[in-house]
Amino acid sequence: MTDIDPGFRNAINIAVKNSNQGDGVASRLDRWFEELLDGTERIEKLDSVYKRLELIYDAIDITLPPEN
Amino acid sequence: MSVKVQIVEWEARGLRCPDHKISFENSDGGIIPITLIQMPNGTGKTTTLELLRSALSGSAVTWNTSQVREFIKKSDPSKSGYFKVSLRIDTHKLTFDMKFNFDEGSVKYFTTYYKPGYSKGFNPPAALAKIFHPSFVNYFVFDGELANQLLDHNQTNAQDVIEQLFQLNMFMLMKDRVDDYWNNETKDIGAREQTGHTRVCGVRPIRFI
Repeated sequence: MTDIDPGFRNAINIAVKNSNQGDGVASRLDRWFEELLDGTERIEKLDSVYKRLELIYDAIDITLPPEN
Repeated sequence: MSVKVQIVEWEARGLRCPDHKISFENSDGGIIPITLIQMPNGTGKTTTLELLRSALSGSAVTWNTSQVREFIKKSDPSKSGYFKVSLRIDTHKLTFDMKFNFDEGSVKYFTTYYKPGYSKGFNPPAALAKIFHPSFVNYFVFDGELANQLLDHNQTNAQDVIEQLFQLNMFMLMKDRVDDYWNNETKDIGAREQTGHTRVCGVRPIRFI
């Protein structure tokens, strides 16, 4: 497993927090980034990337404002 | 985690440069830290650099027939040629072999790492794939002209290589993939439709900073 530079991890955590999302989203993004860096995951393999993104999106919570 | 990558030796046969083998290993098995190689004009310095770049980056798989045949030895053309570079990754040996077939106009790679035997193709260790890549290798095995560019503040080469080395480019590629996925999933969906909200799991794009 490749260690993420603390600056990247911090940037991910801030971005997730600013989007009002939970730690689960940040940890899934961290994990994706780690696997891209160590070669377990390839950014060119769209099928794999999209499956990964489905997992990330599954962790995302959003509350839409009531429609007028 | 740091990894020490050292060139141990390289060897060329049947190619446009003179047949040669250069080793940087000293008598006690260590690697000589700095080596200067002097060759007269027209004797293959540029060709050797091109071979090193392609051996370390796997770039020859994209060469067309003409590009491959540019490496035919002019004075004594043969049907095949060979270039090999051996490296030490910490304590493990890594070699990339390039076998030129001038009849077919093709180059095949073979990789040896750690264990005996070779694998077909250009297969650097996954953790080092970012190093053995054209966008990185080309900035560290370079002709003299690039040295000036690296010191020119109007050029972006230094920034490019830093982004490559520290994986900033990967961060941007991730962002692009997130955007692609989102755009693909929402292209036929009204942003405020409840059905659309359900279909895309109620998400919005994440902004990377």
